[in-house]
Amino acid sequence: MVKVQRLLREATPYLYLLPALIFFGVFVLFPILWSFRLSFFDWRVVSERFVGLQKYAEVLQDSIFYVALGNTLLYAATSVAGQVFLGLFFAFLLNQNIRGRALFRLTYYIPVITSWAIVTVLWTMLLNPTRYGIVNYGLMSLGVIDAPIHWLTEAWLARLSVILLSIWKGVGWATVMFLGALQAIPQRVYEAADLDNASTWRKFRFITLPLMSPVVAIVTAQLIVGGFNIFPQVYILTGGGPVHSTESLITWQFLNAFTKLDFGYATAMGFLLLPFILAITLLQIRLVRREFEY
Amino acid sequence: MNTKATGQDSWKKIAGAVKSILTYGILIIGALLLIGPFLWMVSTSLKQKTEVFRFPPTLWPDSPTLANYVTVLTEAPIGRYFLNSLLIAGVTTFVTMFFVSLAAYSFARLEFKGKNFLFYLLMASLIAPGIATLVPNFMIVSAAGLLDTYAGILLPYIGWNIAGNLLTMRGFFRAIPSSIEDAAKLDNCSSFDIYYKVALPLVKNGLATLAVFVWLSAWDEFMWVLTITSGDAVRTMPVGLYLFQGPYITDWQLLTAAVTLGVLPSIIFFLFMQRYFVPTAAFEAYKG
Repeated sequence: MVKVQRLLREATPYLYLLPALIFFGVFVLFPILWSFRLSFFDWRVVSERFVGLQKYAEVLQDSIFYVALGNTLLYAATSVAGQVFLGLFFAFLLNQNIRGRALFRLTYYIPVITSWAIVTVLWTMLLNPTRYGIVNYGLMSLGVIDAPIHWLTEAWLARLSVILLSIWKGVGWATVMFLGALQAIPQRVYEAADLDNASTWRKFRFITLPLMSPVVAIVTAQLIVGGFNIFPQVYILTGGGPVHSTESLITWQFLNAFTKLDFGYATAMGFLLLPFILAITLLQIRLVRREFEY
Repeated sequence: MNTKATGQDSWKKIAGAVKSILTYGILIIGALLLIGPFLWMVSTSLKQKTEVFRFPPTLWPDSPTLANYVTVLTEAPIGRYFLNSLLIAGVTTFVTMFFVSLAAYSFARLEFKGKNFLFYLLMASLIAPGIATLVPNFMIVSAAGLLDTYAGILLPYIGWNIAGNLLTMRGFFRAIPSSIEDAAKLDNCSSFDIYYKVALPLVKNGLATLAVFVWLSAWDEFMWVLTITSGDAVRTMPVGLYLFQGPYITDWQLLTAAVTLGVLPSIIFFLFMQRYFVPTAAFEAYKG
């Protein structure tokens, strides 16, 4: 009896872990290992054949892979820069003595919490290529353009649309993160600087900037991760077209996996990108660690 | 001397006024750009079909009507998608939070063999190439005969939400002083009672924050549902609306009504749960 009790007590920690670990094992761990195996196979619905590194070579020799890679880097770089820059700008404005700050914060955050795919459907209407598209209408009323723009069917405009949508959706998050960091800087630090007759620039340079930079770094790293995972924006807005010119890594991978059913190609592509993801993640972990030390 | 000082003062006043007009002006333009699309969406969803393609567009419908909402809910499966989304997001959130909190409690407060190994295994999985693992997930769900079922959608959701949330929640539990637990042990509480009645209430704010993000990510998810559904029975709002768009591409009054129904729950949820929206690093899981 005592023995059973002891056994039970020793088993308790594992019993608590069990449900989580089963789900983790079946839907995360096993798929990781299995996808690694798949990347060495030419997989057909009824049969599979070991092909070694052939699928990796196929990816590396595929011109569309490089288009997708280039686009993804472009999307990530521009949309992250846009979100960080505008987020800082709005955060500094809101950090002043502003009436209705809570309302502004709330408004800016609304695009952030809505569903990616759903707002992308909304944006296909906003970017309609006729004068009825509200973006075209707005730009025409302001006199910026004379005729309606075909946003989604011309390669560079389509890329621009993807980038603008990404910034629109995420800028509120950056703003709220930065505003929170600005407001966490104790007022007495600035007051002490005032006693020393410090100029606005010096206060910014020696108080605001060093206290803000870890938050900026973390937000940037997180946005980069998001930027690499760009999917519904491209899939719904442009479908990767015209002729694959706006394809992102994820849309291209998805197409190969579930339209062409080339599981080997899709998984090989995933593992080729692993070093990228690894580098960003390690950077992120380091940044978060550093912040905790403050 | 005196007039000069006043002159300077009034210059300062004017400069201050210009600055605050500029500040508010920019903030208001920013706000309009960010919620403008939603205002247009609501306005269009209340219009008659004939008014949608009038030029120049009307800001507010001549005679607002809810008929479009009735149409998408009765003649299209939007209501079905909506309920599916609610069900899947709700069950995913509830089960995930229960399993994750149990496991996190074990990691944070109990001693067992292999703890470090298991912990690092969970953490390492976070860098896995996301979509590559979608393929084996598809094979598993397909082999289990779960394509086009609720279980096929939400069981993987639960699995994918384990590792990231576990890391955060372990931190919450570790912050509880051990003296509280010791007191409960002296009172002869069982281990499960300590977890359920002592530890869990102490971390409930953090738990709520994580739950909000799990819910939102489940409401948001698109790729997986797109992959494993072939009929309307279990489809969720994001995929449903994407497919609805095809045949109704020119019926903006219907499309916007449907989109409004897809956006509204997130906004309402956000307004009610606002105090749990602590925008922190925990957000990363949702940022995809």
